[in-house]
Amino acid sequence: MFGIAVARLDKISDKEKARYQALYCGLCKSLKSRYGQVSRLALSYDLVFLAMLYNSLYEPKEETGSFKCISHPTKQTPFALSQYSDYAADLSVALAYHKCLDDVADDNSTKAKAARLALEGSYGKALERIPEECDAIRQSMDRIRLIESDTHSSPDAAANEFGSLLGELFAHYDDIWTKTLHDFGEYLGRFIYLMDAAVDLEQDIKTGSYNPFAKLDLSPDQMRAILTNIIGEATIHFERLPLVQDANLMRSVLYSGVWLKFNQTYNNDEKSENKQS
Amino acid sequence: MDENPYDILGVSRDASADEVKKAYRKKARENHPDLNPNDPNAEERMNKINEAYERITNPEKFAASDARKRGYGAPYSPGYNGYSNPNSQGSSHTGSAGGSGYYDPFGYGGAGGGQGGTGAGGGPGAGQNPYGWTTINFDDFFGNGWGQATGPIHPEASASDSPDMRQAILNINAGNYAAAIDILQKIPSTGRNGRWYYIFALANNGAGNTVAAHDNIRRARQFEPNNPDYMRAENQFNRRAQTYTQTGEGRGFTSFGIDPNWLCCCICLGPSLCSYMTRFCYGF
Repeated sequence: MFGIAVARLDKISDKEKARYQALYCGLCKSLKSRYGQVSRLALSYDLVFLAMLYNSLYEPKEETGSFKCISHPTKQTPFALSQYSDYAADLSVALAYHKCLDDVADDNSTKAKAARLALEGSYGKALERIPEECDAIRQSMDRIRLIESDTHSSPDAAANEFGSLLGELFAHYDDIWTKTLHDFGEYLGRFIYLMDAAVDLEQDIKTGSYNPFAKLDLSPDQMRAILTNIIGEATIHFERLPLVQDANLMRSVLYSGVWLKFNQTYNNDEKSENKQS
Repeated sequence: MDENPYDILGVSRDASADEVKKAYRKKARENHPDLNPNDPNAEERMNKINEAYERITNPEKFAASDARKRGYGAPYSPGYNGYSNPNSQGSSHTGSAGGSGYYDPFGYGGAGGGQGGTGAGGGPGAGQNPYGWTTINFDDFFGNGWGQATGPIHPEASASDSPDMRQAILNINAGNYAAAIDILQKIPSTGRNGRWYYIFALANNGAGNTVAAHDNIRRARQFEPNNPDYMRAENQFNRRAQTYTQTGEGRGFTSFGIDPNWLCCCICLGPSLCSYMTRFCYGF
């Protein structure tokens, strides 16, 4: 489910790309300082989006600078982080750990077990920092597992459950924006779950894994229509927030970047857009 | 609220969404009580500014209360709390009510944090319409399909409907979508025709089951491709997609296309390796 909320890099300026990378490195730095080097396994652009959203909404003081990291030991890499990078780091570990548990339950692979082991210590710390969120993630993942094992479950059930979870995680701060953030997170969560399913459909059918689209015999265009309506609901709430800082960067994610995996899977280049209209 | 929200924020009526947002943020910073500790009126101004922003960007939230003040009565609402979030029935995120305290949009802390004044208890008498914001066209902000509320579809029972079907329709019109779904699922498959799929699609749409709603309206249309009710439902289900596409394109973004920057291992290998390879792909 990671790697969906990414920016459309070929549609943003070099300054915005640099900013995006700095936020990514900022989240990485936060993960390292809070959880240690191995926790960087949990790093994802999806949680960079969350940090960027909070930064834009609240415009906190940011710590900026440059540092040498393990990926680029010979040159200084700019970073930008804030208190919201810390929350995003905590969630990164919690979500990644539960994803590992899910993978172990699914296929019991060595890779999944190794990842789980690697993140166990970090997850213990996350449990202390964000206990309610960790509990919400655990309960939600348990419910999703039950839904996915029920052959009669509605095609929306698991997506709606994941959406509820993300809504709760987005509504972390209790203020005027709580409801809008919650609603945005909820629809975004539904979209992410179903986008993941759409991209993995062929593989899941081959392996017999649960996929909400498996029984429906929908064409890629029909899946696209469904997904567009859901992300459309999400962006209605997003556009209600008074976001100025990084707004274009976030829009490059929501209106374009979230489709990259789908387009890659179903060969939807820009010529296909003309066929659609 | 007795004043024009645009005047409160200091923007013109044809201001773009970005201009409204920037003006709101500027006003909020200037008037934040924490930044004006010796000004006893800062809190009241902050409440007005927050409400002005909400009125401009979320007009349906105030449409019902404004209509009541004008003496027009509240619009029909079968369980939706605003058409943009039809599944908010039972939502626990309502914020706090109350006439004191102020919103703290920037997380500076401070007392209160309760909802600012909504204008209840004051404002114009019946028959007056001094504000006009319920008639504001928001197509410029959010594209077609936003400013015109289409409202939920209220199916009517037909003479050929079975008792179960009629009960399901009653439930849909009362906003009891889960109950409607339950009833419809018990109708055996031999009794499922285009109309069944149509009603089932409406029930799922109301319950927030987007995949099921789209799948079932598609099946209904396979039975009766030219049925106007089915076409209307399908169009309504797709209205958010239209708004989304228009808004995205208006901002210079398309949902199609492949970004060559991501074509490398980043997508294939996932975030853990991506964290090491990204800058290679970027060329940073």
